[in-house]
Amino acid sequence: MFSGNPYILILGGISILIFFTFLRTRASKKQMNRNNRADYSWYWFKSKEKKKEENIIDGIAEEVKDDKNE
Amino acid sequence: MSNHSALNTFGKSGNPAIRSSAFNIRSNDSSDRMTLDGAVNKTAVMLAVLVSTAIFSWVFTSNPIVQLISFISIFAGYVSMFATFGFYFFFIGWIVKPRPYLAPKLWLIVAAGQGFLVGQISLFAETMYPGIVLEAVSLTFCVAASLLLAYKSGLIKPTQNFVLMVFAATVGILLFYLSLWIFSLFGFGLPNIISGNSNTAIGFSLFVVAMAAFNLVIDFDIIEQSADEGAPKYMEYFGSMALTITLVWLYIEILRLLMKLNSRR
Repeated sequence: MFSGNPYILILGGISILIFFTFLRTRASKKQMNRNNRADYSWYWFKSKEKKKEENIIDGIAEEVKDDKNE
Repeated sequence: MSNHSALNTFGKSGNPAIRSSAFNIRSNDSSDRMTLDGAVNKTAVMLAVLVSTAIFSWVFTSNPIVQLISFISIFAGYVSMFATFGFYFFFIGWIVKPRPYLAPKLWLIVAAGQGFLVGQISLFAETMYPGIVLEAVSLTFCVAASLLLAYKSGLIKPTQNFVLMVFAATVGILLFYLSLWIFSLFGFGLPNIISGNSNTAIGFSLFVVAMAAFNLVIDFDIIEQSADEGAPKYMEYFGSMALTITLVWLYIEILRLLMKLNSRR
């Protein structure tokens, strides 16, 4: 059932090995220490803000009067 | 006055438990932090689930119960994808906002749905052009490995402008495909640029393959940066979901390109 160009298939096998080996390694300093990196932190900042909002106890705030003579 | 506006006017709770560092963005417990290995392992699990369901779909394709399961899984997979990654429209903004914290609950549904989709498309392509599926899988990983090496070495640098450009092109392609799908519901056929094998059609396929490949670079960058900054654990699932979906997209586009090239012979 399966066929195909054997050279492409061998290349594919090697590529899968390279892919999963290098995916675990850290990127070079040249890549990491740049000033113009795209910022993705909003993905977890926004989610965290949502969770934070859920923890706020909702209710009607009442003004506390310290002066007992009133 | 609504409860939230009252809180804004009179101030939020002074309870030290609520104002504690428990809500700091960076997770303090190392077991709650994202790691690179965790994201890679989850990607491997997702791909294993995807391949299993693709084989299942391929083998039992004539069974009506499997067809029904495939349809439900693909639908559930797309709903889960849109719920996690959101949906953006030009000039309007986010119609559905991204919710990465849903990824741990939905990642396997997405993997199974994508697997069923890949199984059906692959069977169709293999029946028309024997041998095309393994070639497309090989070429997909060739492209992915090359871009990964280029990214890790610092040869390709995804800047904010790069991300915006790729994002805009990706949304454009998505809307184009969506409009084609809506037209097909009303009986319109696919345009020549999708189904034909002219130079324009092949050029369009090459452009889409390039965009899918650039999306891979962004996925690598999201995973790398999230792990580097100690993002919450759910970003492991989110990163692996993004990477798997992009790999599937790249595979389908390469398959389509190979089909167009084969039909010219």
